[in-house]
Amino acid sequence: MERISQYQLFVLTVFFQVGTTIIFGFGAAAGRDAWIVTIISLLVGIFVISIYLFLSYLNPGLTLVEWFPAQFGKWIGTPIAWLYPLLFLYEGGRILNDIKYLTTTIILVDTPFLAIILFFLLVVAYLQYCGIEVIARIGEIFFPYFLVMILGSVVLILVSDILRVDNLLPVLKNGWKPILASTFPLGASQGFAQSLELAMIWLLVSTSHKEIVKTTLFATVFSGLLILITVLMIITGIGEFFYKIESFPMFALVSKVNIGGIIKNLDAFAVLLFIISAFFKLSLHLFFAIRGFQILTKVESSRKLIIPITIISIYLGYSVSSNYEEHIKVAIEVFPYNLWIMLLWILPFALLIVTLIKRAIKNRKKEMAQAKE
Amino acid sequence: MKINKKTALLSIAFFILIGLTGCWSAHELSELAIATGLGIDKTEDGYRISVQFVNPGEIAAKKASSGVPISVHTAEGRSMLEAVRKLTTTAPRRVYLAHVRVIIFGEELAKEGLRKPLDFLSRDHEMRADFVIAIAKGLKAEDVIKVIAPMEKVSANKIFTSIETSEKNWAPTKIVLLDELIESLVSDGKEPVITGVYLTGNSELGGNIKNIQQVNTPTKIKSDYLAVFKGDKLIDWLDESESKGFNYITDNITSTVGFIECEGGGTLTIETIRSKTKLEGAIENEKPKIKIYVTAESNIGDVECPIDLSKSKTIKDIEKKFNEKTKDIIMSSVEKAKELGTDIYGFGEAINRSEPKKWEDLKKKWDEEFKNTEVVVKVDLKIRRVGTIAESFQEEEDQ
Repeated sequence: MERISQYQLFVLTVFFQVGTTIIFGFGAAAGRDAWIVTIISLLVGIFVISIYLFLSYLNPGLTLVEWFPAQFGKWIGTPIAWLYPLLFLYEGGRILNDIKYLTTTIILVDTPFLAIILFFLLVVAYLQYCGIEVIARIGEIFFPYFLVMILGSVVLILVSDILRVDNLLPVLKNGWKPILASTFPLGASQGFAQSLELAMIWLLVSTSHKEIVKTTLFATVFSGLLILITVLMIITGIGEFFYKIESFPMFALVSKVNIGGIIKNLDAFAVLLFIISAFFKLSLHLFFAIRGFQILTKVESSRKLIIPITIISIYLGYSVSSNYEEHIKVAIEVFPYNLWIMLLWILPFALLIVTLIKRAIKNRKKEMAQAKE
Repeated sequence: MKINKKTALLSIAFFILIGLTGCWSAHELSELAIATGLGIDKTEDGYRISVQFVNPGEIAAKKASSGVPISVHTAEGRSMLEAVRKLTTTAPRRVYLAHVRVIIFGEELAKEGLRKPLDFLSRDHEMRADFVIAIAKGLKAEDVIKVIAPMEKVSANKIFTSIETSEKNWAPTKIVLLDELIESLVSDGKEPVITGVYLTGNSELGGNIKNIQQVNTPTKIKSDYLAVFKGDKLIDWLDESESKGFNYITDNITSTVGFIECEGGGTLTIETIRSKTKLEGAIENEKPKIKIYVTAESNIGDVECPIDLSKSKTIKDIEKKFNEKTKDIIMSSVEKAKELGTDIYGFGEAINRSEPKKWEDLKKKWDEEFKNTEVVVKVDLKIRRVGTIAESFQEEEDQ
């Protein structure tokens, strides 16, 4: 059995939660109040992740896809469990689309999509052969660089004096309605409630459940703050209007950096940040998908599944959306409502209720048995 | 899966091969024509684009040059992109737009509206966002783009640096970058301004190498005045003093020079070295009100009148006079904008920041309300230094 350390869990959680948000921005629909959306989403996220962690406590020794058959019974639980690896696979396809649109819009303009998708997946597929231990170790290596790069861009942005606090005013002009609308389901799900996927690897962490809870929640707060800092910088740096219309707001911000005419055009910096986080998010999505399929199909080795999953991913990378507008529209208007609400909110809550009721009945029976004795 | 040594080596070689091919859309430097300036003019049904290229051989540092450092090509098209692509029919190489320093719009085009041509500039991935935008005052942009300037061999560079340095040291110009321009175009509470460039002297000679073979170049490019827009259309120009007032209000003064008249005749020139402006919007008695606070640090730079600077009362008097003078500059600029009925200072945005709810009603009739806005200016300039000589020797000579 593969094992990862507590710190590696922290790193993977942060990479997974920050993901591509760092380039695409967060809660852009709320305009200059997006930072409030971030804070509320973080709080809701902490709440829902605590529930997932509690579920994992209630189902000891089982991964996400095994919870449902265990609680709902074989006939209802198994079909539900099948939905999850499919969701992970689809989300992996979405990340591939993020990558394909960003790179072909900004740096590799004439490169065909296939070349980008193929080379990215080649590395990711190799990682799947190596297993979660290697993914986690690579995360461990990259994490300090990732942080230094974020910190570096924060410093450069501060030094080049492009942030205007006035851009945050007026606060709450349109009231709470747009804020709540972009918090749920999109904001709270994106990154935060998505962490349900990590329930696939909580079992592999070589510490007690209590430590896993601590690490995961700490990582959530950490990535929430990272997102908050970037959102605040983007809004104060490029203003509400550009935050709403820019395809890649962080990119627009970084390219504004100009220190004495010497340090400028740091576009490549932002692309690098994006590639690193997208790489981990994609690797994890695919790892969870493969793992889920393996458990459900009871295949002995997950390696047999890697090639088919990779081929399906290539297809998804091509076909999930046919242009950028469609991709974003689905991400904001369709996907969260149709998939996330059901799979990340309703089903886990139903599972929690069922589990608690079953537990209560079991305890009652035990008590009665004891009373009889 | 067992892999033998041969296959392993072969596959490694294969991957190295792929890695070494380099960039998919690579363009060698020797295949590119590097554009430094763009001039955009109107034609009957589209645009006329003039592109200034560098002649790489001529601007190399070590070689004594004999030819022209830049060359200009023009093309017409219904849309910006079409015109840029049509350039390839005359340009010797592929046009590379990433190093564009300045984009000049002809006044005629600016009067008709800039919104349409701006889209291409912000959409095209090759364009960076660090070029300055200017308006050719009373000219075609093409005429300005064509001029060769001394010192800076690439005249687009010259325009960029002269707008930049005069913004920093003299104050009536303003560097307007693309994102700022678009932001003020779409904002309800702010209208754009753009620095003007124009030619002085004999414009016939501007594109000739002879222009830089003379000590006093016959054709000079000058950047001055601010073009005032309403929406995306140019409606008028601010003169030097009004432009300076504009920069005071929008907190865009780094350093500038202003003079006051002494009591006994003559002038005293003051150099402002640091300036900070705070703009506050409010609604009082259902009327919009703007408060402008300017705080600045200044030096006395040039005394050409009999005055005793060693007394602290004199300094106080100078400060008071200079405050009044700066206030006048700001107010005259505001008056001009009110006359034109266009809110170039972002007063509307200031009100939006403090009174977001009331602004929603106000913004529908802002053009009218702006004219009735009460503007209160408070200037607080402090004189910190008097220079290397404390007392002026002018006194003795005059007596």
